[in-house]
Amino acid sequence: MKLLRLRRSALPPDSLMSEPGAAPEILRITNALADLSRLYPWFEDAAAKLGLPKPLVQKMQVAAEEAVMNVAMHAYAPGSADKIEVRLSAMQAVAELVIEDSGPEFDPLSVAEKPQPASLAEAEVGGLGMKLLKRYCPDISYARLDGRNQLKLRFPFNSPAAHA
Amino acid sequence: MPIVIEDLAGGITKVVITGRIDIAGAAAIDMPMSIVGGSRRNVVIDLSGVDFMASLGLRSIVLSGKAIMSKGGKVALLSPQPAVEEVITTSGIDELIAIYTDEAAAIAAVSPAA
Repeated sequence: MKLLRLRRSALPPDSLMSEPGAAPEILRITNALADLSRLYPWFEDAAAKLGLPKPLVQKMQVAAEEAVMNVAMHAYAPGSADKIEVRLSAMQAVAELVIEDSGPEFDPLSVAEKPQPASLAEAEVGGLGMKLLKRYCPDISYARLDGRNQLKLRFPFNSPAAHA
Repeated sequence: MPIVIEDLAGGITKVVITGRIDIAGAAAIDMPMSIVGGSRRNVVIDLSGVDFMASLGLRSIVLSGKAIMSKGGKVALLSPQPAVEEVITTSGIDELIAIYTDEAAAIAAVSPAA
């Protein structure tokens, strides 16, 4: 009873109508280029179904590309049939992107960020994407679950994922 | 083709990239950008027609820029759209490759005499 009252008072009435338990949109791909190229069309479609606002979608795509390409390049050997699973869901004012792989245990957040190079000649392309990912996503967490790497990216946004 | 390479007067090369430089787009520009990096020294990369770019596209530009600069060449970026510019500045690449909004200024900055 108490929990119910809390919920009702904390949230505007119509957010009770959104879908906290809605099934996530799921993409399962290998690290082949033809498969990886499906990420963007899938993302556009999934984000539209979830009603995510356009500026948020652009930001999430920058983060998603980096997170998925990291797995594609490092978790599996080229030509591997192993899958990368990408899940997109939204509840109230948070969109959540989860990337899972069954490669060796690796926490991308454990890699120290490289200092800004003084010149292009000293720049290393390796650390670029991770820097972008951390700046574009305010809430990233890593877990090793059942022999799988799970990277969870959470993006708060203003207008609820509304079908309003 | 999302990339066109134009050789201008004065030894300047203008690379015009267009469209969505997502995973497929980045794969399409990788080889031409690597040829530019290997064979040109004074390069303006026109990004005004790029609607979207993330880390793979940026990586392609940085690799090519590194190759150009390692030969003593010069490279400049021209007129990225706001979302693309945000990717470039957030990664700090604008501190390594200058961004211009004026084509004549970009060409002047990379010209052999400058």
